[in-house]
Amino acid sequence: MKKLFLLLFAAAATLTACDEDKDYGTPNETYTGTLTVTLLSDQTQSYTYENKEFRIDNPADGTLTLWMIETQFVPAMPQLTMEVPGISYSRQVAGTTLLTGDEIIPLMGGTPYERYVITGLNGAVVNSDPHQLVVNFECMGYHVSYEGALAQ
Amino acid sequence: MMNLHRSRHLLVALLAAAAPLLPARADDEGRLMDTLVVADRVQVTAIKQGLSLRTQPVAATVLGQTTIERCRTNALKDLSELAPNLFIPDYGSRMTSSIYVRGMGARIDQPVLGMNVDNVPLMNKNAYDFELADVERIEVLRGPQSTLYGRNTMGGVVNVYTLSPLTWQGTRIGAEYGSGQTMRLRASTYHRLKEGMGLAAAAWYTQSDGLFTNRTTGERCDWERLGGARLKFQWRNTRGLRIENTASFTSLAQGGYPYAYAGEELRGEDGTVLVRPGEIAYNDPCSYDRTAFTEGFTLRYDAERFSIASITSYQYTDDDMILDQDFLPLSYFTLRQSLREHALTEDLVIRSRTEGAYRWLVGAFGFYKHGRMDAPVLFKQDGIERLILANANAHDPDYLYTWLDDTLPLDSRFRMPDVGAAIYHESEYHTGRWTFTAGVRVDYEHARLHYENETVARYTKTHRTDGTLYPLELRLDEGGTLRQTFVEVLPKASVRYAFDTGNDLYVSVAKGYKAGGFNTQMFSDVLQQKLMKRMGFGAEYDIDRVVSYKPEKSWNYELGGHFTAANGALRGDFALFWIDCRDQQLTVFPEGTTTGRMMTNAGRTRSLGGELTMQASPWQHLDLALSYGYTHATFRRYDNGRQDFRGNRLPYAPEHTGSLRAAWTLPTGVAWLGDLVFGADVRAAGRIWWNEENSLVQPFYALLNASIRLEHEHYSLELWGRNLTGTHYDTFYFVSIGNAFLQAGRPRTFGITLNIHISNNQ
Repeated sequence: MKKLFLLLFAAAATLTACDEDKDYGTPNETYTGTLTVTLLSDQTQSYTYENKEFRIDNPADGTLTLWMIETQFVPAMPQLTMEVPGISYSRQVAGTTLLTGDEIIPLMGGTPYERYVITGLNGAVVNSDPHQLVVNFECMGYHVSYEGALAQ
Repeated sequence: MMNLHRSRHLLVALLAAAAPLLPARADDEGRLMDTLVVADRVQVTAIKQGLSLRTQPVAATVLGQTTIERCRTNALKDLSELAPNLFIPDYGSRMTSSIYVRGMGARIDQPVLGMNVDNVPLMNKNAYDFELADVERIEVLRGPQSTLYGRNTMGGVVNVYTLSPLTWQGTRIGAEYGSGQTMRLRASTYHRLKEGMGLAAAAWYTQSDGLFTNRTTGERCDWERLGGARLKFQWRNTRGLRIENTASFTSLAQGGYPYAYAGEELRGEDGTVLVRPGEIAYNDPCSYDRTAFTEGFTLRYDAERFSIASITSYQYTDDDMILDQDFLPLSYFTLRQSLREHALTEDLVIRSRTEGAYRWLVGAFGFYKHGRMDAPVLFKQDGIERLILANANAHDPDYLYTWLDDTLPLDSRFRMPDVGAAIYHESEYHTGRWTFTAGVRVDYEHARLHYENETVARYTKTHRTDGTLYPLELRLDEGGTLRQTFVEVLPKASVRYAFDTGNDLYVSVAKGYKAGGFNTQMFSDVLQQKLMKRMGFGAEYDIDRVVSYKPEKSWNYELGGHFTAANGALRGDFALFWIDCRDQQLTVFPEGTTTGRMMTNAGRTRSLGGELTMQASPWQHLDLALSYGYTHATFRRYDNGRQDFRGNRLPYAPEHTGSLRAAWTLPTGVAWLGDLVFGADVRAAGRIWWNEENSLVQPFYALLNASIRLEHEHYSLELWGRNLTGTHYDTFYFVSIGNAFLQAGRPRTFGITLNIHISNNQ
C-alpha cells in the first residue's frame, strides 16, 4: 500500500513536472531498505532481503547511476555489487525525481555484464523526510523491487 | 612417547606415605629447598602482597635462587609445569608468549597472566620472553589477581625479583654451551657502596644456531642472537625510606617459526614433491627482532603505622616480525608487523603496617601507552593466482581475470593510544584463627585505533566471448578511528582459617578480566574483502565489528589450603577451582560468504580442576618437589557461525600438567670441590586438544631432564640433558590457507654450564 502510494505520488508529481529542471542536486545518496525479488515465471517464488543498501550517484553526463550494494536475487547467488549507469531522470515541482531506463547493461567491477541486462526500470526519489527511493525493474527473469529511505 | 600417568599417581602416594617418617628438621632452614623463601633472607621489595604467600588465601608457587639455577630457568617458558596448571608452550619465536593457566589462555593479543619485574608491570606481552639473568625469586600466583594487579591478570600473576646488591656482593660469571651450538654468557657485579646503598650491573649474551632445519633453504630456522644489560640501584636509610631503580635493555634477533607441514603430501604442477608431512619447508624468510628498554623507579617510605610506595616505569618496545604466512615452498603471501610502543605506568600503594586485627591497602594505578604499527601483507604469485584470481574466475563466467603486477601489497598502518586508570582497596580482618579479606578495584580504560589502509590492484578482465580487454586499476586508500571505553569493577573476597602457622584452609571468590581492544591482524582480511568487493564479488566487513572486541570476564571460586608436616620437612598446598568465563574473545566466521574470520566476544567457558604441590626432604641430602594440576575446561557456548562447539574441550590448554623434581646432594668431602648434586626432573603435560572440534589431540607426554652438578659456594659446574628419552611431542598446531602445521617440541639436548660466584664478603 505504501509502495502504491509512493508511486501515485510520483505519478502526480510528474504531471506538474518542469522538464527544464535537470539538476538532480543531491549526488551520492545512500538508501537503506527492502529488496523484493520475484521469479516472473512463478510468482510464488519470492525472496525478501532487509537492510539492503542502494546508492544513487550523479555523474556529469546528465544521467544517474544506481549502485546496488552486495545484492543477491536468490539465496544461492553470491552477493554482487551492481552498477546501473545511464538512468534518465526528471525532477518534478514537488521535488520528486522520476527515474526511467530500459535495456541497460549493468557494470560489475568496472566491466559490462550483458547477461544481467535491466529492462523496464522505473522509480522515484521522493522528496519526503527522509527521502524515499522506489525502484522497479526486471533482470534475468526476475522482477526486482526496492523501497528504501535515505540513510542518516 | 613416554607415559608417566601411572607413575605420577604412584609418586604422589609415596610422598604422602613418607610424610610421617620424615625427620624433624625445622631448624635446618638453609638446607630446605628454596621453593619456600624466608622473608628476611631476601631483600626484594614485594609491595602489594608481602613475601609470606603461604599465610595468604592464594595458590602460589615460589621459586628461590637455587631452584631457579638448578632448573636452568632462563626464560618465562622454563616455568611451564613447575607450577600446577601453568603451561607456556615453547613455539614460534620469543614474541609468541602464549600462556595457559587453569584452562584459560590466549594465543594472540591480551594475555591471561600478568608479569611484573621488580614490581613493574610489563605492558606488552610481546616482551614477556626475555633472559631471566640473576633472578632472586619468582612467584607464580594462580587465579584472578585483578583486584591488586588489574587488567590481564585473570589467570594470575608472575612476579620476578632480580638479585639485589644489598643481598649479595661480588662478581658472577656464567658460561654455557649446549646442543644447537647454543652459547650463553653472563657477567654481573654487585656492590654495596655504603651501608644501605647498593649498585649492580649485569650483562648477558646468548646465541644459538637452532635445532630445526628448513628443508627449502637447507638452513636452521630457529637461530637466535640475544644480548642485554641491567643496572640496578638500591638505597635504604634507617628512617624507612627506600629507593630502587632498575633499568634494563634487551636486543634480540632470531629466526624462529619452525612450523612443520602436517597435511597430505603436497605436489607441484609438474608432479614433484613440494613438501611431505613433518617437514619444515618454506621459501620466504621468517624472523623476529626486538629492542626493548625498561626503566622502573620505586620510592617507598615506611612510616610507623603505614607504608607508601610509588612505582613508576617507562617501557619501550620496538619489534619487527616477518612471516612467510603460508609456511610452504610456495609464494602465497608474507606478513611484516613492526611495532614501536612507549608505555608509562604509575602505581601508588598505601598499606597499613600495624599488627592489629585490621589491615588495609589502598592504591591507584594509571598508564598511558602509545604504539605505532606497520603491518603490510604482500600477496605473491601463488597467493594472487590461487586466492584471488581463482576465486574471481570461478565466480565470473563472463570474464577471465589476469593480474598485471607480480605482487599485491595490502598496507595497513596503525596508531594505538591507550590510557587507563584504576583505584583499588583491600581490607583484612583477623579474629582468632580466622582471617577475612575483601577488596575491590575499579578499572577504566580508553583505547583508540587510528588506521590507514592502502592498496593498488592492477588487473585485466577479458570478455570470454568477444575478447574485449578491460585494463583496470583499483586504489583503496582509507582511514578511520575506532574507540572503545571499558569500566570494570573487580571485587574479591576470601575467608581463611589457620589451624596453626603451617596449616590452613581458605575459600575465595574473585573476578578477573582481560582487556578489550582491537585485533589489528584482521585488517588484511578487511582490505582483501574490500578489494574483492570492488572487483565485483565478495562482501565487505564492518570494521568496527570485525576488529574490536570487548573485555573478557571470569569469576573464580576456589577452595584451597597449605599444609606442613614433619616439622616442616614436608610442605605443600592444594586448591580446587571453578572458573566461569564470559564474553570470551574468540575468532568466528562472519555471516554470509566472506572468506575471513573475525574476533568477537562470542564464547562462554567453564574450567574446573585441582592442584597439588609438595616439597619434601625425606633424607638429609634428598629434596623432592611435586607439582600437579588437573583442568577440565569446556565451552559452554561457542558457535563460530558454522559449527556449535558446546561441551567441547578448550583448545591449547592441557588437561594435566605436572612436574616431579629430585635433587640428591652428595658431599665430596673435599672443601674446594663442594657437593655433588644429582638432579632429575620429569615435566609432563597433556592431553592438549588442538582445535575446537576436538578432532586432533596431543596425547599426554612426559620429558625427562637430568643433571650432574658440582656445587660449591663459589662456583658450579653442571652437565645436563633435556628430553633424555627423545620424546616426540608437539607444542603448537594451526591452519593457514587450509593447510595444517605443527611445531615439534625440542628434541634431546645436552649441555655444560659453568657459574662462578666471587663474593666480596669472603
